[in-house]
Amino acid sequence: MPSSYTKINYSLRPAKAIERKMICDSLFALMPFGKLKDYKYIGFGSTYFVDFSLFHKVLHIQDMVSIEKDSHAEKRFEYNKPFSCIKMKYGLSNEILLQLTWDKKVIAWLDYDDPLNNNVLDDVKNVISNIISGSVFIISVSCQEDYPPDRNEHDYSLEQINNFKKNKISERISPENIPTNLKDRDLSGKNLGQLYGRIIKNKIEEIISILNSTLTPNKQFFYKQIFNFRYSDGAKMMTIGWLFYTEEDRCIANQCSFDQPFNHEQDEPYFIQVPSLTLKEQQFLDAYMPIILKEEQEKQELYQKIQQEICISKKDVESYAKIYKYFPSFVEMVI
Amino acid sequence: MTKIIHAEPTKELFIEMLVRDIPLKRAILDLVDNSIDGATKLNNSDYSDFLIEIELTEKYLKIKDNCGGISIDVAEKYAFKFGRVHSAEETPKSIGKFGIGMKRAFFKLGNKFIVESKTTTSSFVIEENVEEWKNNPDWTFKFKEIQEDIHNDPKNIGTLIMVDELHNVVSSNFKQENFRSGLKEELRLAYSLIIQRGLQISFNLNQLICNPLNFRISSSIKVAKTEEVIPFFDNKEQDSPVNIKLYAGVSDRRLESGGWYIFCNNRMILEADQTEITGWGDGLPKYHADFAYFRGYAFLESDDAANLPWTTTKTGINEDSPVYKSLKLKITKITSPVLTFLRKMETERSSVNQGELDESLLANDYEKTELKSFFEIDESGFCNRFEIPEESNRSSTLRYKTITYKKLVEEIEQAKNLLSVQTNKEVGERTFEYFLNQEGDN
Repeated sequence: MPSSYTKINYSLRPAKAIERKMICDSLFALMPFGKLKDYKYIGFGSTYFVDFSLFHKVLHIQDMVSIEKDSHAEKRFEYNKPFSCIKMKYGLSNEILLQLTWDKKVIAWLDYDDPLNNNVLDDVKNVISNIISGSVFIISVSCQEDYPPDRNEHDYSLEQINNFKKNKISERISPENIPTNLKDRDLSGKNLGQLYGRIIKNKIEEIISILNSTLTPNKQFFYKQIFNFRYSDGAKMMTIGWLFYTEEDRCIANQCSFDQPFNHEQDEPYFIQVPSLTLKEQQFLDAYMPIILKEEQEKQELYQKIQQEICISKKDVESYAKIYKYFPSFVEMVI
Repeated sequence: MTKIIHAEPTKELFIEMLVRDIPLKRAILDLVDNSIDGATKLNNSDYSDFLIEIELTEKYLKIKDNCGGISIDVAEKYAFKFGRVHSAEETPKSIGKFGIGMKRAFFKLGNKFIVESKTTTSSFVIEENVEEWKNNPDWTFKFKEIQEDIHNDPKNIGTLIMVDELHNVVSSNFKQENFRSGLKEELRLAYSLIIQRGLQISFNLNQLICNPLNFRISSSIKVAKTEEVIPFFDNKEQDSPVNIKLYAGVSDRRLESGGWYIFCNNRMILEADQTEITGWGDGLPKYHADFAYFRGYAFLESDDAANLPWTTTKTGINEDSPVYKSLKLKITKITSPVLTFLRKMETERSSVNQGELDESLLANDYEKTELKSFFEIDESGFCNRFEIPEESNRSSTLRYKTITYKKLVEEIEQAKNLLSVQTNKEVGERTFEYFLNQEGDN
């Protein structure tokens, strides 16, 4: 299968772009653990290296590793690498992760295009069993439901569709990683993301418990969830992230204030909704931001006014208000 | 009156049930373990003064050692007791720990056993008929002879164990040449580290030579080595931590020898393991022919043998042990880069065979390695993480492979006509292009 970089320009996926900036913004909260520039970033840079550019420029991280499975286009990746501090590692993440040195704190963002599968879970295991206290691990997978490819031509019963979904899940994830009380509804709509989240979390729990069983209490590992995003730039995607710390660093971890509205510690995800707005509309709306500071009545009046003046619904304005600081602008340029 | 339920064990449990859990060869190893523990107690670094002679015929098994003997006190309180006694004096780095091995081996092998022991100050003989003992309600063994406060010549001290009136199935095994060869090999492997440290073991008068653990190394291909102490598990700080040393690298290509070798207190418990126990197919890829170069040696040591993750039969790993679970993670970590190297080397080799590459740099590097006994490798042969040497450069981004297949001549001629081409090669290329045009994405 061709890699997704041959199909999509990552920087043109607006929800993804917003998520990336939100994550970058949040990572400043790691300051109590030390300077961000002393972290190592591990990611899948593809040919665009968007996350690498952002984290280098904004967080000043300068030890960066990009894992690239397509080793036959080495020259292309080397050519596109925006900064010399990015080290390319060619091969499957399953193998590369175990070849890296893990002696410093990392921010590892494994951003897959695929749905959750055993390889991803192996990567989870390999990252968790290696990282040190103060590290952040972020994982993105597709949580798009599986449907029979010919379902428009056939009349499948609900039961057949559910069976199809179940089979797909068990093709990708081995039975010991699937919760025992799996229900049909866990496989549909938003619930699929919840299920994936649970499966990943179960894996983390399993590995942490193995690690902790041979560690003295103050060296034992704990984690807290800091991200739980859902968005869709076409296919449904999810991103979950955690901060890992040892018992002796618990105080430091507590000082890290991951307290933005999109830092979701709970199972309920934060949905990034991107209203479709022109540049002119964005600028118009920007003049009223931040809405959050306004009184309720004032807000309602504002929504009405905007609806009347430029026909943008309250729902879109509300969505925009949540993400306007991170909203990407795309302009076609004729060169 | 309160009613109670009697749950005392029966002798049959020990004589007939527990013996099923241990393979015959391993039961014999359990007896040898006792001799080795005797030696370890006297000197756990240099074993060159110690000798264990094993004699096995279809009539009896005899194991004679000069490893210090069993004192009367130990015989009375611990050695013959079923199960471990907590007040027992610890032998640091011992192998025996569960208080089951020797008795289980006696019952497994035959109906009569004799233990003769001489320490510097005492001697005793115990002789027991198992059938008679089974019918006796007492849980005791009687000394047949006993002498205390004497002076034995230090040259003559040691233990002699003899099992007689072998069970039929045991005797028929002992008769087979192949059983003896298999047992000899198992002894060689299980004790190779201790033989390396000087212990002499003879089997039917043949001195055992240690099975050389080895690696192939060069200046670019080294052995990954990690060392770690686990002081805390089972929710407490342990008085006797577990020391883990792991070594992973490559050696000769031998399908049956590739895999992980695990030693607990110098006794091998897993030989060339290629199963999920050491992560194959669970964290690592499944074992297959390309990995036949791989060797991994894990040495676990603890003053308290009970802290090591072995089962009572010492044939395997106690998979519930936290030490084992954490060991497995470490094994995956140290193994993976070696397997990546082997996979890449095979890919390069097959590219060379297919004419896509002039030479395989990785295979060249492997060819330059030298076979070394594990014990000869000095620090320069080790590194923290297995480094993959430089790979052959695949210069072109366009890569080609050849497809060959056979078809009926008439059909090929028909295709030639349809395609208006002359050669078979063209038929192949054109039909392939046609297929991709119709079914491909672009």
